[in-house]
Amino acid sequence: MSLILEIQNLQKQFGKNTIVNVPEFFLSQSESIAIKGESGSGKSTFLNLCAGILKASRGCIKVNEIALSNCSESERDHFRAKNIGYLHQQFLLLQGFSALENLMIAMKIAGHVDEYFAYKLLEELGISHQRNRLPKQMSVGEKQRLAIARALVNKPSLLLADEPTASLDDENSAVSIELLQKLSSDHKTALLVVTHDTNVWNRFTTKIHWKEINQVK
Amino acid sequence: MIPVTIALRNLKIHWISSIISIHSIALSTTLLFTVWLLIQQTEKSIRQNNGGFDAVLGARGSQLQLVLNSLFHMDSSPGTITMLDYQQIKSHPAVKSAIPIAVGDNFKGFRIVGTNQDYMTLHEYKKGRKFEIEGRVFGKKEKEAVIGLFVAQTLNLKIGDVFHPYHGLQYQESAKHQEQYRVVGILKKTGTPVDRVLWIPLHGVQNMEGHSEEFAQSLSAVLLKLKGKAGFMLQMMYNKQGNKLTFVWPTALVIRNFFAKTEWATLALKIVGVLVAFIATLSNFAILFNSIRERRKELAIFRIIGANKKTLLFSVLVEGFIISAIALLLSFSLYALAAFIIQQFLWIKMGILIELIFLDPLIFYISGIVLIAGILSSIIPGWIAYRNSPLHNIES
Repeated sequence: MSLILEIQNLQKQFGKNTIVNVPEFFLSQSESIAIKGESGSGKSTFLNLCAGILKASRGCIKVNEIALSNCSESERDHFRAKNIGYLHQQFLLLQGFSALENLMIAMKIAGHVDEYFAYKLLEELGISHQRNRLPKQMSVGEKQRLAIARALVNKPSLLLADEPTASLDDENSAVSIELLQKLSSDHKTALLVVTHDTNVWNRFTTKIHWKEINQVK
Repeated sequence: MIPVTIALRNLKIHWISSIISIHSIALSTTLLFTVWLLIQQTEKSIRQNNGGFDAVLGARGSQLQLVLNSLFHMDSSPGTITMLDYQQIKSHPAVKSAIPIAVGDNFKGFRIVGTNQDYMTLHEYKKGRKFEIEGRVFGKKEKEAVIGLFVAQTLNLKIGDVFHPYHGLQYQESAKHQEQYRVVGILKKTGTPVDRVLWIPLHGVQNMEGHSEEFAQSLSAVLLKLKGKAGFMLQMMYNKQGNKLTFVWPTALVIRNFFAKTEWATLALKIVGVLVAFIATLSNFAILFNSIRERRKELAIFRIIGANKKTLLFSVLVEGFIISAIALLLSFSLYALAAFIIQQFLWIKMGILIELIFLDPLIFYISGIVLIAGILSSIIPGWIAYRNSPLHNIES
């Protein structure tokens, strides 16, 4: 199976503080990994480095064999739009856009619009009846599903989820993780989840403690 | 297209502030169009409205009063001149044509002016354009009238109708003359003050019942067309050497001098127009600036899903441009409305039909400035959007 994410000697410093120091990390196509760690230990920073939102201080991050660490900010933005889905605990939905439009604008930014696929995705997630509603008119569970749909709408090869269940109750949390795993598997998307929630962590077969891969002392 | 999509959606979401911005810019732009263009067009139309005459000869007094009274049929006459004065100027070799007028009566507020048949039939009120009469010209000594179209329409007078003149220039029911005049002709529209006058034979005004005997031998003014550059010579003769009469030449200069006296008011309006436009631009800037500050999280989300900095910068610039462009379209409509109202006002009050110009270079200059100002006012908000840190603003 081909490698989707390759990380070697990755370091991120803010001033003199090293927050992330990952000598090696790999993620293959369709693989799902959950990373668990303490809050504030640099997991989200690691995820943002993988997404190309932050630039590494040292080392190499390759997604689909493209070295993000060598790309400009604009190139990383463009690459992220097309190849990386990003799911955040706050859902990060555009409040002025309807459910379907949230998906359509993400597709427009990536440069390929397929309204039928967007609709099918909403249907798959059970929220197609809410397609014309604004996020504020939806329940928390529906918002989470919409956020998952938007993260997958451009058929990314890598889906990054940062504390995806932090805003949900236990029931919604379980449903969400199940959906996330099923859809990433169906769409052959590699999934990397960072969490401090043991219940979420336990649902993954490949589980890593953040301190095992992050060598910051 | 993404900046346009984002800009349009933001205008829709913040529709109240968008409407405020659009209207404030539209009103200020209309003010600029009106002050710069409409006032100029009005002045130009009035200045050019010399009725086809180069000069006016009248009683000693104010040149402006003489021009207003004899050419614009406004204001009172500064006095009278004698028939002898008229004969002298008429026979002067430098004079091409001399039209006598006598003013002193009205019909329901519209002036009755006595003149000769030559004015109605031979005179060109604009280059190459003589009066066109529906019906015929009045007889030299008949109680007949040719009336301006505005008078005919306003008073619903038709050929064959009769009217009684009223003494004086202000309408008073008690000042009714007993004579009756019959309408024998109606002038086709000239777009000049002539349209607001009832024209009767000179003899009629001079010998109207109740007018003094002295009046029968006097005139209000003589309207002149000159040969070559004789104006200066005649001006010296009447204004410098004589002390009985006033010779106005060129008539346009008097009107220009009049407007020169009101230039400060036009300048003040121009300054107000520029200030209002400046304030509208600042208000647009403030609205965009606040909107961007409120939308920092939304901008961060756009970054997270892959929109780059330039897309967000352009979305704000496009928003500023769209606001200005819509405001400009609205201001064109408002300007057209203002122009129509002013045109009708001048036509009704002065009988002057100003020519409305909508494709003047000034329109394009002002429009360009408004669009550029719209973009300029969105540069700083756009820069904030450009510099927006996605992670910082999501965490906040």
